[in-house]
Amino acid sequence: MGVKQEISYLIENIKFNLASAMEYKFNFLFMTTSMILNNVFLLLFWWILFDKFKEMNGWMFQDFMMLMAVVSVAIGLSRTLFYNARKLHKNISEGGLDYYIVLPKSILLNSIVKIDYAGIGDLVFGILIGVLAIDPINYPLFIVLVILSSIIYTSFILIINSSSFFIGKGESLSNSLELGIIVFSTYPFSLFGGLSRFLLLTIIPAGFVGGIPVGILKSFNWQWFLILLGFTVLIALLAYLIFRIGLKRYESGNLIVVRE
Amino acid sequence: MTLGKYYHIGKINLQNSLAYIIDFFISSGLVIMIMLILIALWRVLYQDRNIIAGFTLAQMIWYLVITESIVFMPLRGIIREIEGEIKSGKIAYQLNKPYNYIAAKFFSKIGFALLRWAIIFTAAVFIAWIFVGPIQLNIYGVFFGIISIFLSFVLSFLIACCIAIMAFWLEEVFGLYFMYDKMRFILGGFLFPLDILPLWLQIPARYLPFSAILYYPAKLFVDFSPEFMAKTFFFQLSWILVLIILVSILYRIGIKKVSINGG
Repeated sequence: MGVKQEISYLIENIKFNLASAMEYKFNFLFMTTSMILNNVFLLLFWWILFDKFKEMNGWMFQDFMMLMAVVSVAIGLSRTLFYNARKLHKNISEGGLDYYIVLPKSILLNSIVKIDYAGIGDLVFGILIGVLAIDPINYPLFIVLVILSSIIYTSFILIINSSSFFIGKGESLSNSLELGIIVFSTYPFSLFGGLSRFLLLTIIPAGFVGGIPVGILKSFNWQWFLILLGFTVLIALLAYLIFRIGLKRYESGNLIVVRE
Repeated sequence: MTLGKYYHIGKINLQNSLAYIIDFFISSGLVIMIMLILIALWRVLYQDRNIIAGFTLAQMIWYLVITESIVFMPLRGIIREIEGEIKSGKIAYQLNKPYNYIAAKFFSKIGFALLRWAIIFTAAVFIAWIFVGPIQLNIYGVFFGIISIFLSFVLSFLIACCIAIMAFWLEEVFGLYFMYDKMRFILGGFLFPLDILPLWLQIPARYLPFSAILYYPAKLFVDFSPEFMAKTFFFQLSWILVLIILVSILYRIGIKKVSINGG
């Protein structure tokens, strides 16, 4: 099946998901608004800290707003399109992949496509903050950077969820690491040095989701841009490979599960 | 027998939760990671000052040990469980049982929550000890601080119940949880003591239940005084009373929406 067909299938799937979201308008609006408010509170928290201490190792509040814009749009995009990536561990350990295996579509793509209402809230919030914090001349660069950041985030979620192919019930591990990458990516990157900075650019690549794109937005640097691009390709390939290898170990069960 | 049944519910659930020992250790790993970030953050903020809002760096980190361990209490799981029972209609099976639904839930979670708290607390203490060393703790502060942490769990549980019971009316209650979580973040004193907040925010924050969950027990632990202890228990017990009444009202109204059919 060609890439073009996969993409058009993906678009149809998203349209279907959106139509279903519109059936529950109140919940849709409630969840998206809650997420926006949730992010406003987070921003307020950091505003209080920056107002009191002015700067943190060279980071000002403006830089933090850029970070919030990049991370919210990147994670929002991922959760809006591929919300079920974070539930893949459950499908693996409970035999839920059976349903997707028999379909004539990409197992990976088909099993992770799902809209999350809160993700749309993140997306809207990130765009609003981005408009406020980023110089309009940098909007095209912002779009490229958040797409790369979103691919890195989604790939990481896929990798940690695919661990269930190898270790069985990996719910705690994947939930904790997911929370880890979100938490680490929303702190000013200037706080981290030495070993912690290295870990955030490798094991939990939160630096590539937030700090590095913000650094590039603040002052464009080809070297860092190419490193970010290279890392995106590498982690996306790794996520795909781990899923493929894991899928060969997948064993169906006779548990009857209701698909959510 | 009235309390005996709740004791057995708690005991059975604690035994079941021991199966999740790996989960405890993974959560501890996450707490260690977050403690390391917070230590990095506060070290930067203390670079050119010794005291912030009356706290030394070491006191600030030990304050965070307490708030961090409380925040990791398994609220999401409790909400998900009650919400699931309401949405699926399973709650109907609980109606004819000889116990109070909310009280039974409380006793079924308390063992798990306290065990998890103890493990996470130990992990956080370990990191604080290594990075900023011990602080001078008052024996009364530790004793009453631990009682106050227990009351925090009761308060958190009651708020989780309020959120979950809203599933009688809302399709998705986690939006409420996200907001509660962030209120706890800022108005509860999760990442810094309320004393750092600007006055216009600090004054209301001191009277809201979020600070009764985090700020008061954590400050009592690291900076004990009898007056502050009296204030802490007064706020905590008052909010527990208010929330018990609120949960009972919400539950009674909500449960009327359950319709039981034969079959």
